[in-house]
Amino acid sequence: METILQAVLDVTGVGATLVFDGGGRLVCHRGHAIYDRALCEQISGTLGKAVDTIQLQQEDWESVSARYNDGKLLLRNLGAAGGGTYVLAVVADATLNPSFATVAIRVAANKLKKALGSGAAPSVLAAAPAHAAASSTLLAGSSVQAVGSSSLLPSSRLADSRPALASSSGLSWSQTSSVGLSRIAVADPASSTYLSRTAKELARHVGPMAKVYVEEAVRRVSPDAPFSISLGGKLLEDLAGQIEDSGDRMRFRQAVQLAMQIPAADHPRWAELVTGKVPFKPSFLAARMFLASARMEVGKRGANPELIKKYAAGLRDMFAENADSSNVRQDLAKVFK
Amino acid sequence: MSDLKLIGSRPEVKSAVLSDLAGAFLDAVREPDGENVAAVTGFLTSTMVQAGEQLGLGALRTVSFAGQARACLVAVRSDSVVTAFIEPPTSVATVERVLDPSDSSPRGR
Repeated sequence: METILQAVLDVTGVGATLVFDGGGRLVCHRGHAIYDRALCEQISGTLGKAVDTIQLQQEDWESVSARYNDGKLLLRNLGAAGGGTYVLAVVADATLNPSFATVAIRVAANKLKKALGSGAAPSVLAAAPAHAAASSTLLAGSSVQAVGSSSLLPSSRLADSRPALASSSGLSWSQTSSVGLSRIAVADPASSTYLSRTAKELARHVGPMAKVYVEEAVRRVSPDAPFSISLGGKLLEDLAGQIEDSGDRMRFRQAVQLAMQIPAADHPRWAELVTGKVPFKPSFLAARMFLASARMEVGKRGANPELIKKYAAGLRDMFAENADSSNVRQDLAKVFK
Repeated sequence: MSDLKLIGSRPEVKSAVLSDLAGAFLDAVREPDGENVAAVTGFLTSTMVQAGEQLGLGALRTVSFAGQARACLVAVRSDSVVTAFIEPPTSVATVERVLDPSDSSPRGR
């Protein structure tokens, strides 16, 4: 499957290409260095939600094209294979030649359908956890090896791999001290959450390089000790100084500050919201839809504490990601009054 | 002329809905279920904006999806969203040009 994705990646303007399943789980990816596995896992989850929404409107959808100021996101429905559904996604910048891309994507989609139909996906999925670290490696070349491709890499390179920064949020930070280039030691879970949130907010302005910038900034503000949230203000100023546009700089500062004011995921009110114990209907549409779905799931399977915890964290993340929305601010004020 | 009326007058546009960014229904042309379309479009738009932010692609301008018989074009404005259902699906590019004449170069589409 990597060979098929590589053919799409070779088209001028394409930065990354990936396949994810109906549950928004990454199956396989190829991309330039900044599109590492953690980012592709994160984007798979987001696009999985988008595909679910599109299916509400048009069940027989074949392709999706999203146009942004600085690039494009193209999706192709690979249909059902081996008991699951799959989608091919292509991330491209403004230099993409749409005609070439259309042909390359059609060819790749046909080949992927055959590969998935012959059972390629389950083996790829099975290999995923074991190779997670290798797949986010920033190797000398410009492309990143995806799941299942680590067998192609010399073991010495694997030993030097950057750690996978994957978590439910797509970012995580080591809590152990390390001399590795990409390992950031943190003092406690709150500091880790702060770094994840800061990287996410920075990504809105600088894109997927945000994690690298945050790592570099942490080394500057806390070179000799594990990063602690008490250095948050200093880190924020360091990062804000790297954003050229003054408006973006101000928005970044505000967004991080707003997001960090939102109570942690283990605050009991989040669980009360997802279980329906607090019958609150958010003004923020995405949260309303999320809660409707969460309450159905929690009700269906009983009050499973782990499931409730998962939804509570998801709801908190959704509010934190949209903390600059006036609807979100209103909702939070009502929920935590 | 507003975006809604502009594309509503196109023969290939079967129906169209105007909504705000939070998914609230504002107006519609030949669409009996405008509120539902507005809600779905609002959620789709917020999800695609989030995807664009994660990837550093900048502001979202349009989302289109197509099947065998019809396509849907979602054009995002600063404070509103226009959704158009298009038949045949190959006419999406034409309608997109009507909504965004600045994007007329072949490489930009």
